[in-house]
Amino acid sequence: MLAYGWIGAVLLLVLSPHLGLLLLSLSKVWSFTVLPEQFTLAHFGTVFEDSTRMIYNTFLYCGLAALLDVVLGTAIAYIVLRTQLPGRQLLDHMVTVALAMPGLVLGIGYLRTFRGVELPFIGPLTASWLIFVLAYSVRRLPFALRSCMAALSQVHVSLEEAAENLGAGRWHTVWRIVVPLMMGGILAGFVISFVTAAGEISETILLTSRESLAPMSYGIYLYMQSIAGRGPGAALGVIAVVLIGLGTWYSHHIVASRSVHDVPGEKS
Amino acid sequence: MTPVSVEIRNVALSFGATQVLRDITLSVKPGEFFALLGPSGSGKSTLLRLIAGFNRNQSGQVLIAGRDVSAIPPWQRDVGMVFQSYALWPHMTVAQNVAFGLEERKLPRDVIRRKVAAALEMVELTGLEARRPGQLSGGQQQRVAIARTLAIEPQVLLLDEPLSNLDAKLRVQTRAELKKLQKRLNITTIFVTHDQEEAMTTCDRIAVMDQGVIQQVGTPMELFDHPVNRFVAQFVGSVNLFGGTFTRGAGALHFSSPALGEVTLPASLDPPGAKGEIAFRPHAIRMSAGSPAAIEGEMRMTGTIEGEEFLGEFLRYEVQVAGARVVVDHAHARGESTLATGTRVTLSVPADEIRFI
Repeated sequence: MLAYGWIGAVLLLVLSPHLGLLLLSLSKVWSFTVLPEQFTLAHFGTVFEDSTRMIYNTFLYCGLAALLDVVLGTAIAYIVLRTQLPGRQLLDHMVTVALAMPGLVLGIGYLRTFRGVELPFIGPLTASWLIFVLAYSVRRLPFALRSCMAALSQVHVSLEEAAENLGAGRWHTVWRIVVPLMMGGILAGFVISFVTAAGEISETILLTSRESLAPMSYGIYLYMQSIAGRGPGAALGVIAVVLIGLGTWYSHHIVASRSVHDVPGEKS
Repeated sequence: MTPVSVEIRNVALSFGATQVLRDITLSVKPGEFFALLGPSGSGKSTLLRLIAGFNRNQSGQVLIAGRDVSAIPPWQRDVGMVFQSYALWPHMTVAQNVAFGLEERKLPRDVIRRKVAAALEMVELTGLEARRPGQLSGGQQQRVAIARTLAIEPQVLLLDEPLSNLDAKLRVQTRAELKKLQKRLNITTIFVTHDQEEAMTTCDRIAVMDQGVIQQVGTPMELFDHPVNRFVAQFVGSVNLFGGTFTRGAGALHFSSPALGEVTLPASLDPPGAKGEIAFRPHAIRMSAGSPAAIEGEMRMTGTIEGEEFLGEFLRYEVQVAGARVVVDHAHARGESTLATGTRVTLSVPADEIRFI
């Protein structure tokens, strides 16, 4: 009984912002009472009418950035852990430097560096959606890399040697043995990159040059600027939480179903 | 397929400043079951990995079927290796594991299916095609690893301590099966092990390695009966070894050893120098209580029993002779009583059981 009470208290503490957000998104009037006085679904209607573009943008930017992160993360992990390339440790450190930079500073850095860079079909880079993908992926690469490195170090080298011994070249070995065995870590890296990028705001504010390019986090920020926007802002927040939650659950589900049988590696 | 030879010529290999293989020269005959035997760190696995292409030699040559393969990557060597850990891929089924090498060779689907079935039948695993490695016992995993390697019909089969992860009983059974399979396929096989019994029971010839150097190459019986140095004598079987000086006088050969004291050796023996070591196996010693009459042509020592171990087939006694401990193995018969600790005994070793090292 005591244990359940304790769990309940902790859950309440952890989930109270989510609960508050949910109530806010459903409230018509909520000022001086504990719970809202009137409930409505209108805010969700508003959001779906005005902000589907932002939801789409979030998925596009964060999905591409996370994909880029795991591809780079897998490649860097392989270079660091499996090759004798000089300077490979430096690569690891350089990626980690992005963690030490505040998003705001990184954003300003991007705007300065790429000012005037024109891309064919897209136009100025700093005013295009590509800058989000670029910024998000650099900022989240350390997380994806750590995850990929942990996954690769779990794969025993003899599993790769066995493939080479049976006639598979380096690329085939990576593609048929290393990547499938790393998949749990790669997926985890993808989710971490995606989720943290979806919630990122400091870079986003700087890089958003027009509203049609804005992702959800920017939308929430904008809505919350006005009193009338609190409800739709909260609704957008709820949608973000649900979508990210679903994504996390689904990837956990995939990882769990892949690793149900056995763990690669040595017997003793 | 015609079996091929494997030749190692003056190979040296070092990792950084550590020399792992020093001037190795070795010739494995076509169809031979050959063992690399040595303690851990002797370089035997490194040599095997060198033949597979996972290590690069800094000097010398590795020849398979007379062709220098030193510059050929592992995936083009056509050498099959069974890893100590088996290295089965957990994300693939048994059939997928076995099919891998055949798929890499771009064989037609029906040929692959046929060869996978044949390989699994050979190791008696038919019916387990759809299982994952994690759902198999250690012995079954090992057989999948062998099937996977043999499916590609390699020129040479390399076995890296393949029995070390099996329990004692299964190990004895598997090594007999391995020997039969090797003879049936007539494939040149190199087997790495640290277990002398394993090497002696399965292999045609053995190279004993220590500290990156081949100490001796020979058949199991040659190594046991005629070890060329102290290391081989001690590593292959148990041995009593004592250093000292030889002097010949009054029709007898005297051996003066700091440990054994003064001992008279059979006059027929001919030590290679004035100084050296004598070696004799524990089972070659005849032990009797008291002091029976001396027999011509035997080395005699007297001592006191210090302890004994019962090992089933034989009793192993430790006998204190002057300042030395001599190990004596005495075949056990049912109902026979043991000699008590403290008993004075006479040890005699026939001349042809004494080696100079």
